[in-house]
Amino acid sequence: MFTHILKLEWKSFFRSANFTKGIAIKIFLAFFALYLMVCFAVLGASSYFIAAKAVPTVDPLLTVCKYIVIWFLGDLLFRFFAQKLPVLNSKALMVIPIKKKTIIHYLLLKSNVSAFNIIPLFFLIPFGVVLLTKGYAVTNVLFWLLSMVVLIQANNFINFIINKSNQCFYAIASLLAVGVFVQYFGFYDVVTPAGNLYFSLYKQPFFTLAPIGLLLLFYIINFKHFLQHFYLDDGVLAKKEKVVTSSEFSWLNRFGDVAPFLKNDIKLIWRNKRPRMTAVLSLVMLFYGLIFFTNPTYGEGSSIMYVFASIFITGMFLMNFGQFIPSWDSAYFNLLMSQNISMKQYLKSKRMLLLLSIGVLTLLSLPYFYFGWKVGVLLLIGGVYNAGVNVPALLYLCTFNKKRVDLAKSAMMNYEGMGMAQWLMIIPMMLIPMGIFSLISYLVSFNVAAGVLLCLGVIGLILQNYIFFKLESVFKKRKYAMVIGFQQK
Amino acid sequence: MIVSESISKIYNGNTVLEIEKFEIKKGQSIGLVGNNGAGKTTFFSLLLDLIQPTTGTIKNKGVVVSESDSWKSFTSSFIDESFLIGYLTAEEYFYFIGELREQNKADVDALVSQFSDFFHDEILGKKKYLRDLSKGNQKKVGIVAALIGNPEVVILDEPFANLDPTTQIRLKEIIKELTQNKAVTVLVSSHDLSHVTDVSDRIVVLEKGRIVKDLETNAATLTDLEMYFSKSMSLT
Repeated sequence: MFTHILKLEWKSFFRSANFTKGIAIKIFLAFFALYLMVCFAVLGASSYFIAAKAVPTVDPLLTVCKYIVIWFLGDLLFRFFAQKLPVLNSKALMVIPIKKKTIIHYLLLKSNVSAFNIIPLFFLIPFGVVLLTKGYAVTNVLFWLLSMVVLIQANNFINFIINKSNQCFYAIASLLAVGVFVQYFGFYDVVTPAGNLYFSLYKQPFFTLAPIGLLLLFYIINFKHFLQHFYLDDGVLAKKEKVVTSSEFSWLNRFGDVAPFLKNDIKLIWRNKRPRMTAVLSLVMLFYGLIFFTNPTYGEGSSIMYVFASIFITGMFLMNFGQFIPSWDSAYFNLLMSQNISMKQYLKSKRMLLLLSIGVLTLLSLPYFYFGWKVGVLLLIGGVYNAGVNVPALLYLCTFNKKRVDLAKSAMMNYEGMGMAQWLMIIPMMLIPMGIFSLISYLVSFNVAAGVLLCLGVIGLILQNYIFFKLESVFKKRKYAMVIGFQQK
Repeated sequence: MIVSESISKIYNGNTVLEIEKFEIKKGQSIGLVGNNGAGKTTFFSLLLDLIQPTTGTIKNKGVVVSESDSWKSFTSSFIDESFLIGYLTAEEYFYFIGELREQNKADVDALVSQFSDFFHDEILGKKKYLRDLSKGNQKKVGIVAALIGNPEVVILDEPFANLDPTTQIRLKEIIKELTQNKAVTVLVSSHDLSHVTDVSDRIVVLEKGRIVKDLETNAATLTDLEMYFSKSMSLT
């Protein structure tokens, strides 16, 4: 029976729309996977030596074991966001004579063959080889490796259990946060007992039975759960419905004819998973500045990294959300195109949303003035440059968007809607201002370079009406391609 | 009201629509019928400027649809679920459309309240997003939204499909009321011959992109149409 399902899977993989399209993204993803593998392999091969150097008095394996608990918890958090529950076209399979149990076993076993479970091997195997060359007992090392692999697989199934509730996620996230906090500030040594636990798996090979027991336990819990909930109105197949409240946002009415769209865009962001995550990420990235502004070496010379950081911080929403305009509206694009609105109004509303986001992010980044006037001034200039130059530049590049975006999917590791435009955007938006700035500040001075960026932003703002007139005609021409592209799922 | 001249649409050498001259008078209600692939939705999409014609132009009240946006203020349509915004509640969606069509909340409320029997208490005040409604209820929302803002042209693609019998009958009344005063032009496509002859005073039969019949509706129309479609079945 498994072979039947396997054949179906094979066809669904090779015949899916995603497989035939988007070669560029496929190549990028392949490189990314390769990069991760190499990173993990290098880390695996070198962590023994790093550990030996960092804590020479302790067995390096014990040192590494201490950090495994953090790795596993982090792995679980990452899985929560990025790993999808195993689903195959179960609806069609429910009514044909295949045993339910077979389908569920298949789904669960399929989830074992996931990048999340395979990539850690690239760390573990080189690490194990190094251990063997260093004269660790062969049987013990092999059983320790087995334990680790089994624990990773257990993580796989734990994820499916906790994935059903956000509370579990917050519990694990806070556990990790508290653990790191307590450890970092030396209140309590969390990692040592955990490290000893993992180290005992090495010392006593038969302890491996414990992780295996755990794995089986979690497998059975999942199996039972799926078996009970394998109905259309239940479990993984059920559509989740929430009771919702209507909201008006009437304070946005002051924005005149673009107000209906602004209200709609705010609902779009608030009520859909992917745009919501994108917006939250923009706020989180405000803290990115701490990396740059606390490190004085970035402020030396031309302060080029400060320019990078200020454009990045104030334009995070612009870039993250803006890059998928108008794909966010792809599900109801036909409505917008046949309703009583002009292209200009539509574009203006998007521009207003982006400008508002830049305003808010610039205001929120003002505390960075604490790190000196240079930082503060550059942040303000970054905001103006984003508003004047990057907003129209981005909207122009957006006219190349013609891929559908599914609002309900997660934003993490999601390449849906990605096309050439998304890659091209980085050049004008980040590299050009950095280039101009470093050139002028090298040739003349910091003040002049900052002034030039400010002027560019202001000129962009002054010319916006003319730019919009041009943009409108470009959008009108590309509209038909968008209508077709957005229909393709 | 609507004039199309030598309009055609060709995809990769396949002609999906080719209509010499087609004119719809103000206040007429037109029923488009034809088997799958006859070109009904293509015609509507051309009329709404969602696709570009290979040749020819369509004028809506004198406005060439591909050149100006001004036809949008008096034209409304519901083609499929891509005309619904899934993350809004029904009320929010009606108000959104109302705002675009310069209707205040009271106007929208007044219009929507006329259709409370059409909704069967399953739509208003339900605190559900449109994406969570059933197909039939989604369709009802889309049809009612297309009536907001006193449009002069209303385009409905397959409005009877997915609706329960009570609602189908109610929808027929709604369409008849719309065209009563000969002020609103209604275009409806349907696979249900009896419904479409009930509501339309002119029936246009499309086949493989061409107009093959153009009839004023009378007592014999339904029999005519049934004859025609059973014949085309026996021919193929």
